Amino acid sequence: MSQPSAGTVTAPAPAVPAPPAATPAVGPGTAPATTAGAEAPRTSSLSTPRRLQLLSAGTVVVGVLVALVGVVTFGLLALVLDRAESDTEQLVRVQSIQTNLLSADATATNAFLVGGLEPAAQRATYDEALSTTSGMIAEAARAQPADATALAELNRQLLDYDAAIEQARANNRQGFPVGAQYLRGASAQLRASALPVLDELVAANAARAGSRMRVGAGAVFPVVVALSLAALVLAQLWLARRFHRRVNPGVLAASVVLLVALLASVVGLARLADGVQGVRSGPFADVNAAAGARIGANDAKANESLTLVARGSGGTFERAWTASAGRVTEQLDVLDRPALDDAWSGYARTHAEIRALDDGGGWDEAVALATGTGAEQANGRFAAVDSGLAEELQTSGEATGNALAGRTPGLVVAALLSLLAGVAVALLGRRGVADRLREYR
Amino acid sequence: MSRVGRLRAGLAAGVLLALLPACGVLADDPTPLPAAPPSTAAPSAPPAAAPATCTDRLQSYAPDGPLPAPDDLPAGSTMAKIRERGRLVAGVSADTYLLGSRNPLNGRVEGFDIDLVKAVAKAIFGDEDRYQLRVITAADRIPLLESGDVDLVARNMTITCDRWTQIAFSSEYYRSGQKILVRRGSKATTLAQLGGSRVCAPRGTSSLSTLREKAPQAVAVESDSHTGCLVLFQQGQVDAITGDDTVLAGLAAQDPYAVVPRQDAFTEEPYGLGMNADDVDLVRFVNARLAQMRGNGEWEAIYDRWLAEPLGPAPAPPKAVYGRRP
Repeated sequence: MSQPSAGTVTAPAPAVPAPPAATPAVGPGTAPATTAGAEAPRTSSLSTPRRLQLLSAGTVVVGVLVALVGVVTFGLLALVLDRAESDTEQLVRVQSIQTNLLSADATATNAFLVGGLEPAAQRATYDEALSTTSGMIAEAARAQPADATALAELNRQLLDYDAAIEQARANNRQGFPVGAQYLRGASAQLRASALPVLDELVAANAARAGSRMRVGAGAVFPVVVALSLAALVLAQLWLARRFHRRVNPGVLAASVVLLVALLASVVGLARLADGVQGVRSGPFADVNAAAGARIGANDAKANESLTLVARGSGGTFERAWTASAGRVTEQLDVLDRPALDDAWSGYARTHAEIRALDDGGGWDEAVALATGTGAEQANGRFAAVDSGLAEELQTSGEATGNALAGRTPGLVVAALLSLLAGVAVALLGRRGVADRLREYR
Repeated sequence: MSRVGRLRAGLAAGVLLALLPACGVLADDPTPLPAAPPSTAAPSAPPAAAPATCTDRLQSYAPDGPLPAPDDLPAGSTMAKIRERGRLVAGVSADTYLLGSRNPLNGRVEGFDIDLVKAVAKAIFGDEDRYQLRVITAADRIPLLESGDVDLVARNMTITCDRWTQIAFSSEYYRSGQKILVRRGSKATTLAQLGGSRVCAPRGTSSLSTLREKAPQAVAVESDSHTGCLVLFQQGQVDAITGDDTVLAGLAAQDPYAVVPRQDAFTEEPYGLGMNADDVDLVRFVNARLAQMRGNGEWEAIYDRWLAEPLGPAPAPPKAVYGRRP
């Protein structure tokens, strides 16, 4: 039962006379309304009921917007985190391919050092590493089509490598020195052509996983909710001024819903950001560190053998060993697992002994130490490092996947809740405005 | 436009803008491939400057009387220093079948050249096993001698005037000659018939410079070693290999499709042990040892062990030529 406090002068009668005045403005639509607006003062161009109708439509739009943005934002976040999970799986897979190849190469060069017939167990290890690798390449190509071209190239390199190793073996069995040449060529080709492809694959997947482990885009929802809330507060103020009623229950209820959604989404997103950041700096960082350490360690072991194969001219291989070892210690520092540190320093000590023996003219003793599988010998010590790192990689990879997958249910619930909130805002707001509008009928 | 309307339009635009990057995050750019590595079997660069000439490349330093006993080496001599170190360090090949190659069955490097290293070790230590081998490439031979990283090089090294300007040689210990190796069924038997073919020789060898000099129409392909050439040959990347007959015999023995056709050697390749140019006393000592081996049948025994089978019965050992002055 209120009157507009400003604008058109009307009799203090109930709202009934107003509609006739409004009808001409509403009837012809927007175009006449603007021409009218150009002639008359702007405030008088729209009648109160028309404004109320617009406001009603506005609250519905706000509600739909909140629902839509909520569903899309939280749905996308769930999808993106899901992709981050599969990116991490792909990263672990690609890094296992790299480790497997280096391990195969370390086995092949090490077996070659021994002289005589290649030990059956080492041959089996090589074959196993290589067949696992081809399986993983196929699997990786299925999992991430963006990697397909690089993986196809890698597969080609792998075939060349295996062919050269087989030729090295065939010649070696006949006692021909050309076998050693094939082995050196295969090892060099692996490092010059195949490993760079793997480096690209590791870098690309690490970047993909890393860039998806961010939830900043989720902030769109609270921003939209906050703006909607501000709009409803303005609407409430306008209604209060025009109708001399302090409160419109419908609009107020809608505002409360939005306020709750705002607070809940801010808190929820902050927790999500915190959790995802925890995954990034926790298990995901461990995945990268463990894989980096394992790749470096296998590279070092192969270079140790190549240094001995080169008999006193292995300076470049020993420098490569030192570089790889530096990479290993760096990554182990990140991992911070005392057991792995011990295993690695044990192997590094044995390596130093091997170098001392070889440099001192004791090539045969150096080879015996480098190829021995006893607990104090290089292969035994290295096995402890490699299996420890493999286990670490497995554990932290799974932890990353689980931590990321654990976020999905919450995000689905958030999407549903924001849908409900949007619908509630639309219904409540519309109803609140409709109460005022009814006074004009 | 009403306030609410403006707000609405603004919101819609804002949401669209905010969601665009989120959609982009679901699409992946293909993983890039690394840049292609340079080819290893590229045809080689043009030849270097013309080799130096001299009147007698075979002339070495004469021995200082008879060979001294191991525990009677001149004080302060290079030999005494080697003895003090405990081992003779020799640069050798590990893939020149019969001359210096790693035997995959026992892991040892063995061959004609290695037996010479043993002979020198025996003269210095009285024990032929006091040596350490460094497997080097042909191109490494001179730099490692000049830097003193190895005491001597026993790696089928041809004595040339050019090399005498950088290092010192022992007297000639074996006379070889350069030939060609081709695929079974090939009609080529001389270098001249290889015009337009791809011919492989190791980097930094006299075989390579002779190839460029005598067959400029052939495409010279460089490799690290003769065995590297054999790999290229087996992969079909080269049509022929050129090198000393001893080396080619070793390569042909490893591949039934590689043959060294009957041909006259087109060079004379006198082999010498390479030493640092300043170690004149060591050269004299090694020459005394070689003279001893020529005299007592040791040389023939070594020849028979490695080369008699592929190359026929032992010829007379090459005669030593002395008279060089430091």
